Amino acid sequence: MMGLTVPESPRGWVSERQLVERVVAGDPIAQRQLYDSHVDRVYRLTYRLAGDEDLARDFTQLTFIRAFERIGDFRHESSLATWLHAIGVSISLNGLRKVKTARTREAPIEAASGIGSSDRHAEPDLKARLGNAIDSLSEKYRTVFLMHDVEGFTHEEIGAALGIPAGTSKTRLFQGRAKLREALADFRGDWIS
Amino acid sequence: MTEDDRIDEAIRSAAQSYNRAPAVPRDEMWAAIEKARANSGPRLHVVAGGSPAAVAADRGSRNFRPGFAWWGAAAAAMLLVAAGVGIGRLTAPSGSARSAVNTRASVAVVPGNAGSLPQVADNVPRAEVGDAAEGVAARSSPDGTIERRTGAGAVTSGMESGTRAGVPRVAASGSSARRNGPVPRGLAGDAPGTDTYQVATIRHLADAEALLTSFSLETRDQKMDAQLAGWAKGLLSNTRLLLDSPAGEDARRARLLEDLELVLAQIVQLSPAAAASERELIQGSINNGQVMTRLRTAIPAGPTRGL
Repeated sequence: MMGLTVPESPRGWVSERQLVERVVAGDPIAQRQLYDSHVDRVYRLTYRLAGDEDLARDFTQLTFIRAFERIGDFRHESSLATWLHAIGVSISLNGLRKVKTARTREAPIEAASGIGSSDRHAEPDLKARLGNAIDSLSEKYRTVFLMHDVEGFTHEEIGAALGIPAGTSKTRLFQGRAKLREALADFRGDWIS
Repeated sequence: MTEDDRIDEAIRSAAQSYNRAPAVPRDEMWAAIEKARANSGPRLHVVAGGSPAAVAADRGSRNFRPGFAWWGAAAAAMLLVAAGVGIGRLTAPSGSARSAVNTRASVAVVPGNAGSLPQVADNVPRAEVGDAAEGVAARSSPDGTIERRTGAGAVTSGMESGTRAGVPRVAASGSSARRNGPVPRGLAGDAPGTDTYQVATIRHLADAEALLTSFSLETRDQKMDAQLAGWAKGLLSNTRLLLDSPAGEDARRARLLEDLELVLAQIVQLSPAAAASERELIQGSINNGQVMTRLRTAIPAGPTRGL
């Protein structure tokens, strides 16, 4: 990620502010610069959530379209990245809810547990099982787990993106991990040894 | 490090390959974004097979559809006028405020509370909601049958939820009380624009709740399904207008409206000869999204709370 999006540096804040001002003014170079600075992480996040290239593209494109529409409302109360991720997560989750009627990705976690309690030699692929278990998590646990444990967002960033307190994000992560451990209980021996 | 920590670490490590993104199609996406912004109306990258993902794209790109701005502006103006009339009625000077209070108090007394005089402030939102519920029957119901069933549904929902108890009964006299009564809490001090959209949204959500309650009734038949579809069509249009209005700027309300949009779209498309499984699918959408619960939470909380 380029320096202009790093909020820790005072210089980064200034650069980001200037970039936003240029985008608001309609500078196409600034718009592309903003896009290039953030698109990778936004796309990675939407892809993690959607698991589908077409959906990830849709969600990413919509994220930037909406961001350019509303950039004038951005008040620098958070970093630009956090603001963009909040838009991206919102669009992704709303889109996925609409897709949910066609997909049955939110099977009860008990179903995954049921699979997990069967003979593990019947389905030895941990990654496939883990994928099923993550898919089976409810949206609130899945989103926090993917953002924190897989994409490396902090609880503060997750809280800002989801509109929840950081403590709630921690709680959801704790509960989501517990559900995954439960769903993958028959691998426990391998991991501990 | 505890056992759980080690397992979490193993899961975290294995999860890195979960939905790992391929190379980012930067230029392709940028081209689509530029095209969308330049044309002010394309649909973005429609997912093959016309999956519901297209709905998501449609929602996002709706703002760019040519002509929508005019249609939206016209509809928003209508909403503004309608809500303005409502607010005018609410804020009209009254010489019988006391009688209005008594009216509210009397209609809000429910079994178990008999003899107590509820606080006016606590009753104001109920009267507001009640009037909105009454509006369902008066404005949105396709015919008298639906109206009656809606009322029954509302009573049923009130029985299920303590906070909704009495709402239909309040509706019977709440509007007359409101016409002459003092300005309800939450409406007097707010900006007129905010009030307008709040009133419009509350009325709309009350309409939607009544429709979904009717849809959930087991006694419905094919004829009623057709009536519900017609009813849902109007509500779907209003939902989309609200989504693109300032009422849709609140994230929680927008999520509710978007979920409602999906459910209404499904009901509109439901054919009278649809299999039971199709109805179950719609009911599943309602249940999974906790749409009814969220609607009920939004409505009785009053104009300024819960929305």
